[in-house]
Amino acid sequence: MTEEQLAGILAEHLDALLAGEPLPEEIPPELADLLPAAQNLTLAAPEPRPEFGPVLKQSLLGPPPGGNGAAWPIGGHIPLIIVAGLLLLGIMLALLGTAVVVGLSHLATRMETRSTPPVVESLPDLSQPAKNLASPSPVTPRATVTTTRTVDPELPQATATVVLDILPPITATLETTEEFILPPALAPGSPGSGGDNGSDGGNGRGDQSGDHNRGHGNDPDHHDEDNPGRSK
Amino acid sequence: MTTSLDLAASFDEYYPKLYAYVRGQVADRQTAEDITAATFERAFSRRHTYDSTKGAFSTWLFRIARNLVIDHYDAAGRKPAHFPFEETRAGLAAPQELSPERQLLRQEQHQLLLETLLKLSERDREIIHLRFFGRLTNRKIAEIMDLKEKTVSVIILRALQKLKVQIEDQEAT
Repeated sequence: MTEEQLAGILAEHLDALLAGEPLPEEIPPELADLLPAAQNLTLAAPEPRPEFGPVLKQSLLGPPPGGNGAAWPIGGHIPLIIVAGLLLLGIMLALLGTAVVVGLSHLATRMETRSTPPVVESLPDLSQPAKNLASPSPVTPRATVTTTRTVDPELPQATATVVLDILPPITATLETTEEFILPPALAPGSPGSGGDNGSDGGNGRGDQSGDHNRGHGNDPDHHDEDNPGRSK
Repeated sequence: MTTSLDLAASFDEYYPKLYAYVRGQVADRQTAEDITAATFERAFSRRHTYDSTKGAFSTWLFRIARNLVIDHYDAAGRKPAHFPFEETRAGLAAPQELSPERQLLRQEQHQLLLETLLKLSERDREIIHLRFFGRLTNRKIAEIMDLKEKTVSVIILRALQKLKVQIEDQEAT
């Protein structure tokens, strides 16, 4: 008997063995010793966990959403593991979002509790007009202060820009008046002025030019006492 | 040509056999469960592509499982499959039916069988798993493995002869 013939007979016996059917009485001696080994192999087959089969079957063939015996749409159903994965992903995203919100609020609280130096240190007094303005011009007070300060090396750098624009526009107008100030002795109505007029020869004329004309004919010595350099 | 399938009946018939074959090919129970579930999920979702004129449903189903096992090897690397006695049909048999000595003897025989199986080539070991764990005929195994039916028959004959010799040697020592 060739090896192929033996293999063919063995296949028939194994089919009967695996089907649970009784083996034929006449078995070639070359195969008789092999059948116990085959029997051991069938007993060595791994068995699934008892709870796994029903769960898998339910997930594969369970009623679709809505029940009433409706069939799953062609193309299969959503496996249980995918649904569980999506749920887990949603929970993780929610936890991550909560952690970010809590972290940001904590950071903001820490930044608020730290003392901030005065952002406006000294500003010129703009409520009074300048004294030496050459010409009147409108002035719009505006103060811009930019403060950059690192609160904590481990924290992100915070930059605060404060723009102060609280003062109303001020228009300063400089009014200049020209006033001649005379020495007290020459001031009109002063006691000394009348004596001079009398010395001019009593022409009875209250000459507004005053002593400037004294050396120009009225003064006999042609000497201007007030302006000696111009005396003739 | 496609054929309507009774999915529940197909599951009940092939689930334990398919799991046993997959479990014999991979290193741990969890992986075997994942591949078994993926096999049925793929088969049921693509059942409209199954053509009964080209082969039996079991052949189609086990071919899917085999491809998934190969994909698992590519991703995780091939590791020697080892399943403890407690996972086997013999190990799950009612312990009260056997004496402790008999139970221990069966456990030793199982360990010896596993070690002997690991000495076979990967192809021969897979054929043994398809034959005795998947309970497939030689013709179906030949279709799955792309071999001739006679070749499969001879491989099984030689594998059983090796197992018998090695088990006898082990028991003699």
